[in-house]
Amino acid sequence: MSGRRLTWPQRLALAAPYLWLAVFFAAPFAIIVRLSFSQSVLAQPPYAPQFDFGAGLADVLERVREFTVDNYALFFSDALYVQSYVSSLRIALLSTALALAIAYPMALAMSRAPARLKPALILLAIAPFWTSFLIRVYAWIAILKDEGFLNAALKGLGVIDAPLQIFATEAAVVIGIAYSYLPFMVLPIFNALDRQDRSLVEAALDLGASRASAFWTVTFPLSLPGVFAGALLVFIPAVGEFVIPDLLGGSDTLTIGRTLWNEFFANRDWPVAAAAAILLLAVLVAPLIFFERAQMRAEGRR
Amino acid sequence: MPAPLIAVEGVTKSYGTVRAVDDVSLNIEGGEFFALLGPSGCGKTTLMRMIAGFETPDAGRILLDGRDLAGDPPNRRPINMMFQSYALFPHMSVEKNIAFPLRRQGMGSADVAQRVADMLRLVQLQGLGARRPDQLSGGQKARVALARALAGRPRLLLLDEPLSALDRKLREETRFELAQVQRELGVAFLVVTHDQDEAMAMAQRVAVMRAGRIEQLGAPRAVYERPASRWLAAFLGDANLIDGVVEGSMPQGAGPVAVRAGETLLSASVDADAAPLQAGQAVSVAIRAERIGLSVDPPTQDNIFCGEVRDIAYLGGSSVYRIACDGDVTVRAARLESADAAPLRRGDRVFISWPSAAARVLAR
Repeated sequence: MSGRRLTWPQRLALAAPYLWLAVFFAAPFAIIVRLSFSQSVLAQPPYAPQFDFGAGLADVLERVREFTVDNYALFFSDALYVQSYVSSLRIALLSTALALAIAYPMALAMSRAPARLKPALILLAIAPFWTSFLIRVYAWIAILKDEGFLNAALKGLGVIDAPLQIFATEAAVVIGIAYSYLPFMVLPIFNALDRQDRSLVEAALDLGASRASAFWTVTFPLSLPGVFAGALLVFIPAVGEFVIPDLLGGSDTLTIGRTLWNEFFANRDWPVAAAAAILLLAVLVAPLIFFERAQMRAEGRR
Repeated sequence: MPAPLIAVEGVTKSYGTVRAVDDVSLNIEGGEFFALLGPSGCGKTTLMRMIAGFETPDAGRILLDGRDLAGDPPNRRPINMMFQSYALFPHMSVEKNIAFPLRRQGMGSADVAQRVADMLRLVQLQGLGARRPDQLSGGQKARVALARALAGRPRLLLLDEPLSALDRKLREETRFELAQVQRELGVAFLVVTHDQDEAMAMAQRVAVMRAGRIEQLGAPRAVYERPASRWLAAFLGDANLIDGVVEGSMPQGAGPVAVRAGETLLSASVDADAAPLQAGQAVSVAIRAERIGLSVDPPTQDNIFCGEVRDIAYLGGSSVYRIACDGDVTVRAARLESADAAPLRRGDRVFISWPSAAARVLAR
């Protein structure tokens, strides 16, 4: 006979990840999907329909008709929502690019450091996490504001006469996000670079490549899986980021995170907020699939 | 006399307080197959990496055609290397790997394609050009590494333990193929290895290194048959080393020498150019296991001893016997196994013997 019977502990171990996904992903997701098709009402809870399964099947079926797609339609009819999506994606892309530009040289230097220094360097890379996230974002206000450290330093060096207006702009948000998520970019890239066989670069040099050409033909292409992983780890939370745009951005800095917040808490329109969240997810699934495929390609050749 | 292809002149390299390479000089001629042989940590890899340009000598010079290579980075030296790990680029096909040095030289696409095809034919990998390295067997990877290192037509190819990743059977086959490719192309090969079979089988000249210095340099046969030191005799092949003292006063020059090892008196030979021996001087007598004759009937040779078979290691084509001689000397003797020779058993009484010429006196 094929296979052997699983013991109960084995079944439990196999079921655990699915249970986890069911409880912490599928169930909340189902609730949000249901909300997104509901109608906003002035009640507690503030949406309809509510189901009363005691009133019989006919009553439940009657109430199901109250589901609507108006919340989704609203997004595409109101330019403000579309703008907030576009602006969120732009901010996330710029932040990811900035984080990559800073993280790659860091990761490269870490991976080329003497082996005994590496644990310390990794610790330093994640050390900012030991301080409250909020405090660190507030610190950026002190750095970036008109009479802040950055402007004072630049003025002191004679680079500028008038203070740079960075605080309360999109640039400040990009800087804040790139800073906050930097370790998520550094570590996967470091991991990819550190695992590389050093003799590959030596082989490239030996076969006539200059140092720069060895980097672009060998080191960089082989680190791409780490770059993709880091980029996603920064990009995905950056799209939905609320706190950083709220603290560092101006009143005109539109982001989907702020829209969500406003709908949920200011307007108390849970269905519209839920629809916004579902649309955000749809926007994020695209890069996820792209990443999956890139991973598969990388796996396929290993 | 024209300058040798590579001249290593008094090269020294230290790491911390360790002298990895200590005042080494050697020449490699164009088209030569040269081997650096030695145990791990003897400095052979460091020396090779200095020739490749990955390390800089602390002292001494490395010349190519009489021109000092100091200051030339690896990519500007007409010297390529086949890495021990092969270092094939995992994200490139076999063809792209082989084309890599050609592209760096700025060769045109048509010429690159032609050369890649030639190299694939040379290493008998036609049809595998589109594969990725992870789709190749160990032996195929070695061939790609060889093809890639030779594609740019280097003056000298460095091979770092080229066969160590292969299993035994493949290793022997590939050894012959390497030697054949080398003869075909006429490129000088410098192979670095700890495997004496590899060095002896392929190289025209061998330099045996020990603790950063060259212990002996010469043709494989000369190094094997006339080791210059006790350490070399022990390192190369299966030699019996019997410690003793020179008996009586010795005439100058070559000839048989009597050496007393405990109760036993041995007759051994000494090189004409060796330092003269004094009576009572502590020496070792080295005898290759395969030069010791083994018989049940009394033989007619110089050194004849009686002994008892203690251990037998059957190796298929041959066996190695450990024999306790009367007196206190134990020797290993190798014998080809043939169908008509009666097999020996543990405890059998046998005669062992060797010609004086096969036993060499080495200073201790």
